[in-house]
Amino acid sequence: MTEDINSELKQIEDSKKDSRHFEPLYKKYYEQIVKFVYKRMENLDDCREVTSRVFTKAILNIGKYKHMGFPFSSWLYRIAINEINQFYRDSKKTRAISIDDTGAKYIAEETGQQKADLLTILSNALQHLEEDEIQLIELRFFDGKAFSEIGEILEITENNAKVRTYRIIDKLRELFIKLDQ
Amino acid sequence: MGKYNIFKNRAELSKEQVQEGMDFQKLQSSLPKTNKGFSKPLLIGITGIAIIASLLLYFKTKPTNETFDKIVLANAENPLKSFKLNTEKDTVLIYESGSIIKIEKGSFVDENGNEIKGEIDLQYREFHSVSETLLAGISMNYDSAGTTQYFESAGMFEILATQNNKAIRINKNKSIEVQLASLNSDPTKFNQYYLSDKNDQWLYLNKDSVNKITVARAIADSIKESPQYITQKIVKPEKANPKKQQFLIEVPKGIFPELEIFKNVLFEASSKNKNFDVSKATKSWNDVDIQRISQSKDYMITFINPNEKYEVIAYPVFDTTNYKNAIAKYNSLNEAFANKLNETVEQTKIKDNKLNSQLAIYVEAMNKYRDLIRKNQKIYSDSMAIILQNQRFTQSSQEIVYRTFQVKQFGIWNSDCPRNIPQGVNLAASYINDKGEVVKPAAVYLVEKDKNAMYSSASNQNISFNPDNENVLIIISTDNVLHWVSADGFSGITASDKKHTFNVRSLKKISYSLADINNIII
Repeated sequence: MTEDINSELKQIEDSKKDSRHFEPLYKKYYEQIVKFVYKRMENLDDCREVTSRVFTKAILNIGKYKHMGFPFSSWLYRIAINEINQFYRDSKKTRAISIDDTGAKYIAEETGQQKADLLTILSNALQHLEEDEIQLIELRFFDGKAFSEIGEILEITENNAKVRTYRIIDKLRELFIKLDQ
Repeated sequence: MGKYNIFKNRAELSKEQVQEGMDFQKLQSSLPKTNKGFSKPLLIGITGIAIIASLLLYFKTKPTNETFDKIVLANAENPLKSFKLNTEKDTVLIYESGSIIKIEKGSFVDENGNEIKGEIDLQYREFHSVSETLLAGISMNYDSAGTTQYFESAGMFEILATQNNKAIRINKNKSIEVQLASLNSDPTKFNQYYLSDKNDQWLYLNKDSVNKITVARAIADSIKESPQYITQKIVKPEKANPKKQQFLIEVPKGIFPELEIFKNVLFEASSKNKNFDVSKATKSWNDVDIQRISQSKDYMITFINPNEKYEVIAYPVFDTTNYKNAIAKYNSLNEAFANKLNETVEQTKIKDNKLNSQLAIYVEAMNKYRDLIRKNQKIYSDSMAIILQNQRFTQSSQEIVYRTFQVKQFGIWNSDCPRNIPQGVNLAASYINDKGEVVKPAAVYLVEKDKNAMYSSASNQNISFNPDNENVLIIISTDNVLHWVSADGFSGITASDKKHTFNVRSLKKISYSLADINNIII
């Protein structure tokens, strides 16, 4: 594992000198980034465009990358989130969110929600959340990220990621009750 | 459709779909040809989302520009405070906000890395509000992996030092601890940043945390060692008196070490006994109790049967044969004891001397400390008075929120929370004054009134803002006039608007004060 990290750090350092050395990193992380972006996009064309911008931005900014003990992917996710936000700012399109049974089940457990049609109930409730709140819910429950990595991606502390997520869970719990009436 | 377009259980991208979009050669060919070291100008040109440097900072690097000079004049309201200090002594400085700066001796080096001796001039100031930051010309924009964000600040400080007007550095093996008094007590959301003077970019350092400290002083105690002495002495063996009768008893083990060291100990009745009957001492008894009589060679021996007791005062003796061995043993043990005693006495003397000298040092230090406290009482109470008067920092019970920095280099340090560029409205802005004249902006600042945050954009760039927030725009025009758009100037603008002309209010002065900016923002 340490060897993998060292070899990756070497690839990063080489990429700082010449962008051609970024290729192994691109190949290693393309799939997870494109899938991450796709969850937040309406269609594949938009997804590919944003993913391309993510890697362009990564190559152009690799000189500023500093290894802080977190996976390189956290840095790429951070760029991806910034690029997704920028895409929606520029295009004025309606933001897409992908939810699934697994993530919804986790949210149901946290909120004590027991109704059968979880996805419909959750869809209605999510419409009442702010974009930064959606971002945390996506990262935690639909991407399955640890709070420490969420903290790194969003440049907040792990504790703050935890506190904010559980505030949103409280909000969702109230929304479930309100929307059920 | 609602606010979001929600997909339920959407199929993940297939391997083929992933592979189809993956093309590193294409990606690379879209990069600029000269891209090797990723210099800053390229970044601005290529990404389309430029790193927006604050124009005031730009002016700072171009001192020929008139605007900068005048802004600097305004900044005289928050000058660097100068502290003279001796580099060969540990120093603690208290700033008027209550911030504490701790400097160890030997913390400074010259440009060649040689330790600096003697007096230096340490300069320090803090920025806590958007107005202070704006007047200082410090950018609150942050480049997060190539995307511009802006800072909400929990406090910022600038620290510099010189000796004989020459810049000096911090020793690489040391750091200056700055406990920054902060107006924001949020324990988790802020990070620490350093403003790099190489490219005017904020560099992320580490997560921040807060301490709430009640102003108090700790008092140290000293522990005094007590020497231990040997108190037991061996009794000198005596020869049995042929005119007296002796008896033998079984001495219980582990109670009388002074008897156990000898073999064949006999007891001889003391003349203190009246009517001693040797037949009683030599008959068979169920039990015998022995007690040493204090300060004497004698023992009280009690012979016990169920209905009978017989007490004798006796002392240990040896018959002629055993006496020789006993006295030899005594002499050898006594010599060892004397040596041990001498050694202990010597050690005790050394310990006592050491203790006394330590005590003397301690007493001297305490006296010096008391003198120091007395001498600095006025400075201390004056400092505390200033801190306590500075009510924006002190909370209940004189409690101050502190954020601790380990300063490794001089410059500007910051406790901040990066935020995304405000969203909701993004439009091309133009500005006219109350005479209907076009205002040409040199720098534009968006301030969100409920946050200690400021976002600056270049004059030719669209502005973004969240229409749900209470926003204020501050514009420095190319002719160095201060203009602003207050919160009501944003009403009626919708998300679909692509451009807007703002009516600005203007203030033309030679220099602008903190009060001028505060009047606009607060």
